[in-house]
Amino acid sequence: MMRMLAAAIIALGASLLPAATAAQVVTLDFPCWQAEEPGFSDWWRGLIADYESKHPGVKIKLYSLPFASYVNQLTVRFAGNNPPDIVLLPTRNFASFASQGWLEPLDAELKASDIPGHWSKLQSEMSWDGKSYGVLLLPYGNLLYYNEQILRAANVKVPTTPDEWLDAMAKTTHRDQGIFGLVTTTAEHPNMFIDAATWVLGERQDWLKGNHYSFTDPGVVAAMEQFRKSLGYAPPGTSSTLARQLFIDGKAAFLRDGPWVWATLQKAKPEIRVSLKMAPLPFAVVTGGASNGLHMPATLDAQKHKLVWEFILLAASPAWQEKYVQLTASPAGRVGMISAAQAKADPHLAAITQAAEQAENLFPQQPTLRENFTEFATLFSRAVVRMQSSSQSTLVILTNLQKELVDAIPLP
Amino acid sequence: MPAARRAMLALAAAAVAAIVLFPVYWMLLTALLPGELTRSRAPALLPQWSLLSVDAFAAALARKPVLTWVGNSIMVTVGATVLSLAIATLAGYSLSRFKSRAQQGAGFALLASKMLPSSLIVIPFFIGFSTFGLIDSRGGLILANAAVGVPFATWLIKGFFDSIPREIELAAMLDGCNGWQAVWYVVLPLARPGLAACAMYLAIVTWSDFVFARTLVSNPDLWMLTVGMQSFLGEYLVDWSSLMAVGTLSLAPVFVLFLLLEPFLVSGMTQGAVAN
Amino acid sequence: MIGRSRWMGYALLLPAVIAVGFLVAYPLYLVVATSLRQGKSLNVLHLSQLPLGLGNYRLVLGSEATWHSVGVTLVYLVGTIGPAFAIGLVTALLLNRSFPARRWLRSFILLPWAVPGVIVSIVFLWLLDGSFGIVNALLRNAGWLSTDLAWFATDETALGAVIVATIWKCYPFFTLTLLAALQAIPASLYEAAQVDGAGAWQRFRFVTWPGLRAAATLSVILNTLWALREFDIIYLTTGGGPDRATETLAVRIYQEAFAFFRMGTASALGVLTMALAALLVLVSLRPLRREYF
Repeated sequence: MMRMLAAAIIALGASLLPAATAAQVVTLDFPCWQAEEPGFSDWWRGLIADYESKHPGVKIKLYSLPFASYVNQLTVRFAGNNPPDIVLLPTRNFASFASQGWLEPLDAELKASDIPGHWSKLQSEMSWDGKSYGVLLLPYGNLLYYNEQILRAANVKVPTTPDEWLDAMAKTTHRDQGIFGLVTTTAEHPNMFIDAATWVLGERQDWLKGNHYSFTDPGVVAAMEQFRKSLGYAPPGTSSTLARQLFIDGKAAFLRDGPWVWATLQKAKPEIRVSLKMAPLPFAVVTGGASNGLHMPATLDAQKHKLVWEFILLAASPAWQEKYVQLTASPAGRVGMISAAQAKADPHLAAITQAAEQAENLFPQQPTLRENFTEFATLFSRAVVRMQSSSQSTLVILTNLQKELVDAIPLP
Repeated sequence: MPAARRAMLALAAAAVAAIVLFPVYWMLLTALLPGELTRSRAPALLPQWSLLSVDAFAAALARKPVLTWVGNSIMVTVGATVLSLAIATLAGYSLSRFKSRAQQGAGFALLASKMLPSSLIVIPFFIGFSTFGLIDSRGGLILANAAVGVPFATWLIKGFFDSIPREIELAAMLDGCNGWQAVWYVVLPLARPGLAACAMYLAIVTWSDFVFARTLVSNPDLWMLTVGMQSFLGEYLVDWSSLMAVGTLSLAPVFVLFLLLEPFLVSGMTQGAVAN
Repeated sequence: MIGRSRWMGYALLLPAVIAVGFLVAYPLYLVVATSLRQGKSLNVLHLSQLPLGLGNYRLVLGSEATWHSVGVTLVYLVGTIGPAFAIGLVTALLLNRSFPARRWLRSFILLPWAVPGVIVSIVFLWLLDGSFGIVNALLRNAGWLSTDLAWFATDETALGAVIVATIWKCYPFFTLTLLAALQAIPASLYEAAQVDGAGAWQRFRFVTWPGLRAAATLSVILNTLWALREFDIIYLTTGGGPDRATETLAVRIYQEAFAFFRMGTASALGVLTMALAALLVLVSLRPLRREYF
């Protein structure tokens, strides 16, 4: 045992020695959850290779950080004053990071660039407290995905109004055979907010009138009632990833989601793949939002600040923005990245881009709500869960939700 | 014991094992079958042999550095287990043979470390470890996991030392050993079941640790298996079969460890080594 | 080492105290310090910028949500540790005998402990899925279920489902500890009891249980402390829902800290949790001391 102990102590000592540092090279730390995702990882690596060739002596250390713990881990690093040099953030968390003073305002740099005027209007999501903190990478508009074969079997056509959609869901649900009219998030999760928003905002209602919550507004209640009905056609207790998976398995007639589903459809079995199609959502207003953006931590020294900004600029350049669309099949932040010829050759890409350009932001713009978005969405999702499980009327549930929100997140 | 009795016991144990292992069985099935079959309305309990395939295992091993993760996990687990065992044996002996109020206090203080909620220690740990340059190092993980394992291991070993009468040590010392030799050659072998149980406990604590592994290590080359498994949970889709394949694989080293340590769980005491 | 001065005793204890104390001291200090600072900041390295006060405690102790969480936590603790201990005891007694393939069966029965929390959650989410889970399929076949009951997403069943998953993961801890303790009971005691005409139950009560008591007490306390902190399984299956049905203190603390960015209240809740844990240890002080000192 003594020998084992000695070996362990030596091993311990050896592993504690710091790794040899490379000479004279500036390394930019860049954890990224997309580092190994098909499409996105190709874009990032290509971008980094291009950047490094233009900046000898600078290396960008791109490495993977799993999405499931990404925001968590970044929170720990920022709180521990050891943030990455290049920060990719899901935009729903942006406001809380910015309000902690963790991100660097980039107004001057943005003004000097050609980004204002050439970017998606959702770039406004990168602002906080009057300053701009980053560049939007992935704007999106929600889309309707449907399984043509299931629709045909039920003799249903692609819906163009919410009522038609509910009707189609009813006709295509055959629980005993494991086929559902709709798959969506039915397990309590902040994502439920996005789902409900497509119904409410899609029908031109809003739960925020001026600076007040208006959940009891008759229009809002009616739209939420329809949303509640739709949940009845979906398998209960499903997460968003399971919902997508079930759609790809051919077990659902409809799925409401963003443009990223198109790429994941490739994982479907060939006989199912041919039936999976995309269409605009049957609402008057196309809703969408900002998915993620590039930011800079506030603690960089002048040299790194300049280097990271140049990286962001390169990512925002027309050449790389075009490649973004091509490689990731997602809408790019820069507008007009799809030529007419391309649009004709690839209609789904055109549809995705169009949805992103037309999309109305479904995320609240009110600063207090932005800063406390997770709490807002959590309270909201509890109300949705109550809609699924209790027999209380929608008005009662929404009245209680409003009361909770006024208590927890009072608007000034 | 009559053979029939033994056979019945074996059967009872096997039945318990079967019930208890059903989730693990399901993990294995998910890894071996195409996804839609496990995600069906009426999943089959016993699959058809022809449908089983190890594609998921092959794909997972090919696409991601699973073996690197396993290697890291093994290194950190062995390191933490050995370190904790050494520290805990010394401490357990101390608590057993030297009784005083201060000792009792220290013993209870060890339990205090088990009272901190993990969500709240993540940030202080990160700050503390990065101050000492222990971020992104297996050594840091070994230290962190050792700190987690030592409290219970100490108490467990103390319990075993308690059941070994002091007379044995005195007898050995009368025979010419000094204090240390008495412990090394006489007491420790008798405490083998306790040490084996401790080793198993410590190994599991470290092997399945996730919080430290994720917080203290960013470099993917140094990922432990628990963190690596998370990378199968994508932003949009989950790679279910690969995740279950790697999950099942993660049980193999632990199972082997159990098999290896199991004989030590049998104590010499039951063979009447002590004339009591 | 018998016969050496008590300083030798302290010296032997020192590495353990250093290892544990060193890593516990700073987090403990930071948690308490943060709980006394009011304001919504995660900048724990600049705590002095925030005002000092007991506001967080007032908020936490006065909030209905806190006591709801305490209630859920207590149900979770009792619901998990009780059955897990029972299963651990039964399996330990079973595995204490010698029979063919014991080595393998022992290793199999201990296996659930080694399954990482992430996987436990995903597997149970699947087994208990409302529409596609095998448990429901079996129940439907047996005629006991007519709807798609989503175990983790229905208020009445969520806590139970989470408890089942936790029991599954933690019972081997009892099996291992109790088995090791059983091995330390000399066979001669059993023989003597049998010679005296004691039946199975009496043998258990007068030979087995006294030998097990110490290990049982210790393992119950430690596993309860573990369950008090347990977070992964609950969060990944239910996220604390549905509608707070499974929102234990551990889940609430995580949410306050990492979702709502309110480190102050999270730390106050943390101190409350530690107080609960300390209460637990205090209550068990006498039995522990009796067994071990």
